[in-house]
Amino acid sequence: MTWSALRFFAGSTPMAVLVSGLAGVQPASNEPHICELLGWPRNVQASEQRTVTLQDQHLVGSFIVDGPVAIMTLQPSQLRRASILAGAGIVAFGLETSDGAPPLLVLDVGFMLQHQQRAKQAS
Amino acid sequence: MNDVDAEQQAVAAAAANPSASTDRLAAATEYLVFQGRAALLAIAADQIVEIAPRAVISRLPWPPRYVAGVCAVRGRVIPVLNLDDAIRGDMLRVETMALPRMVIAQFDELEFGLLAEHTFGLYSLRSDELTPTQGTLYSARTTWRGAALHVISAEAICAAVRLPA
Repeated sequence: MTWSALRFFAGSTPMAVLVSGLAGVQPASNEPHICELLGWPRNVQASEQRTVTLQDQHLVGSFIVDGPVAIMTLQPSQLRRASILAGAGIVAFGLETSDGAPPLLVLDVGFMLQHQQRAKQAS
Repeated sequence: MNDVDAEQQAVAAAAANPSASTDRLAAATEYLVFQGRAALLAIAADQIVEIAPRAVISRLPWPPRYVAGVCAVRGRVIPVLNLDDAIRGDMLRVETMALPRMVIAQFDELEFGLLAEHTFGLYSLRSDELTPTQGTLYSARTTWRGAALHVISAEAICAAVRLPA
């Protein structure tokens, strides 16, 4: 069994969402950047930006991510379940094959969308 | 009285009162002493899993307090803690993230990395040398080679990082 995921970056941090939570990928427009959503400083030099739209049941949300953006497959042997220390918003970590590579953060789509909605309501 | 006489007297005293000698030995614990960015730290040797070069750290969204991020170490994904900030009470600093190695420790099945500039080695500290502290990530402090040494409480760390930020 393998999972397909969309791989992208938030600044220099590699991230992925499983395609089951993916509703679309378009050229970047004027949505908020994922770094703003996560409260991180934004990497203004990023290239190949895209707007990613996620959906979880009735919740839909879009944000800009940094490239390169690509579809990848994740094997169960590459995945590590996120511990309680990983905080919220992460369902698993993906391990890349190259030595010294940082773990790939596999986002919790439902949590991200709920957080985005709460942030919109608060603003 | 020279050193040999003193040693002989100590051996004789220990032989005369073996329970006292055992108590004294039992109160001594081995600690790994290491240098963080801003502080001299120690952690009980039986909680150490390994000392590894620092890998690339991934930042986390909404991380628990003191968690700088996660890194991959030989197939495991380990949260990396920034205890310098716990001492100084300030925000995560880039200089801390650049420290070259990690002391990887485990408590209650929870593995975590502590960033370190330098490790000094294992040293035995007696409980009567330590001043207990409360309400922090440190169980005690003492003076070691003329500097303040903070003894890390893995139990307190695990409790603290499991709470919301």
